[in-house]
Amino acid sequence: MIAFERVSKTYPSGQVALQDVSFHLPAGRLAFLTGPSGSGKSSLLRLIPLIDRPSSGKVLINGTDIGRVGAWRIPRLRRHIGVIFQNPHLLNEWSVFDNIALPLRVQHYPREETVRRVRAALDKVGLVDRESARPLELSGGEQQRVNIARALVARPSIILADEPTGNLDPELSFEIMRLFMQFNAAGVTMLIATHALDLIDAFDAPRLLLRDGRLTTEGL
Amino acid sequence: MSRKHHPQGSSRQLGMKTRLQAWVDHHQDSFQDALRRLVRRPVGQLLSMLVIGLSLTLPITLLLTLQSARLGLNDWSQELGMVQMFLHASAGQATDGGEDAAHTLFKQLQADPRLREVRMIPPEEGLKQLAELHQFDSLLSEMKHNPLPVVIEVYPQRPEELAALRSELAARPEVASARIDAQAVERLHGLIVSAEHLLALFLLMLAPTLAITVSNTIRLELEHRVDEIRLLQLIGATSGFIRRPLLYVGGLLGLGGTLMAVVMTLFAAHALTEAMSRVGFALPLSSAPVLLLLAALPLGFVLGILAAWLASVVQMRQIRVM
Repeated sequence: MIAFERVSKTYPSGQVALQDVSFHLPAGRLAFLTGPSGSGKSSLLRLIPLIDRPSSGKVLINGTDIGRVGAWRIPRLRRHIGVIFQNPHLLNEWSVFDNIALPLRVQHYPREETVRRVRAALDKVGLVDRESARPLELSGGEQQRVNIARALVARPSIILADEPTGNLDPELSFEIMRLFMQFNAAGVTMLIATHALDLIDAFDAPRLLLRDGRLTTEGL
Repeated sequence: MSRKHHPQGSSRQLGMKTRLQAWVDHHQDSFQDALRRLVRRPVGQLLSMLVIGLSLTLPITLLLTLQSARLGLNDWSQELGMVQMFLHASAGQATDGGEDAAHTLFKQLQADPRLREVRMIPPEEGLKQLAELHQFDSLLSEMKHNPLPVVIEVYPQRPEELAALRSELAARPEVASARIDAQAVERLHGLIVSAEHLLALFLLMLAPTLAITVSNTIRLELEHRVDEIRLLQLIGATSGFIRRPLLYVGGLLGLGGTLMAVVMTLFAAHALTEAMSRVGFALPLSSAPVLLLLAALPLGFVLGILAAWLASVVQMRQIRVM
């Protein structure tokens, strides 16, 4: 579950990113976060895994007010959240397998379990035969699928995606969205920020529309 | 996804054995990661180890040499030692028609095969030496009688006989007192101990070289890996998890640098021993300092870890999650 209660965010430079934003995304639901560039989508997403803190208001994750979470508990909180960026942020010196295994290593999973889960994630995104490849040997679409596999391998309860199809062609973008729908069908709460309205029109899911830092439409 | 959503997300129930195995696996992975990081830039890392090694070698070699010299000093003390005899005043006075008892004793001792050298210092020469040594010439010139006795110094062939010789000579009727003189050796001993203390202090001052070199390497490593660290923070890695491979890097650098210092020190000490033995000085490299040197290896490893920890704590404060 993700809930925002009258959240505002102003950066130290004085730029206002979010103003009085409130919404409630129940556990296991998927919603699209839309709006033009600079409307505050990324700022909103960054508050959920505590990359940034709100200037005012409350952000609740699975019922926990994350504003009250101490620094030492932040890593544990982040393990429940998978984040997918437009740029895959893969480690180019590591193999596809090792990139995907990273969240499991962080959580000290035993080796056998790590191998089993990484292979399952690779199967899910259709990259079983590419586990030994380096990221630079992959196409943009394959890199994004590795990024997605890394986000889901530790089975987080929430997945956040920030313009996940921004660099992909329409066919691949559609395929990635279908993948997200499958994860959501399995019970993962998903919040997907995108300005590709024509793409999300094909999917039946509520939308949060941000404009100048204000949430103007809520379909939840 | 093949499972239904669980409200606790990725939380797991792991047995103690599995947790322990996972912990061991993680340390193995971190160690291998550290080795990979060192191997990736071998020249730079070897140079860092060389800097540590060189900065530690000079003082350690000198310290080791001095310790060996001190150990060898016991032998030298016996070689340099002598028995100094102070004769009765009457021994310097000539008997009727013959030479004085002092000269008789001097000649007897010169003929003694157990003695390497015998020297006689008459009262006049003793007074002259005293005047030169302490600049008492004005005071001494006013004295009507020379109060000094005849002194005879004997150097034995076998240094271990020094004590027995002193007892034997002290029992002679001409001899008022006899003592073993090892003052020069004691002074040398004092000098060596002072030099050792000075060098130990110097070594303590150079120990931070190790810390600074390791810290600099860790700082460069962190700068090189900012993106990786940000990603790790985002997926829930603790600071300890991120730091662990860097601690191993620091430990390995400290160990490598100390190992270089130990090898270079042993070579230098060996060369010095050889050189000294060529000019007639035996400078034994005892096993104790060698063992101490080997004990320095784990110390270098631990110091490297501490330096890496400190550097990473300071540096990682400046890295914010992406």
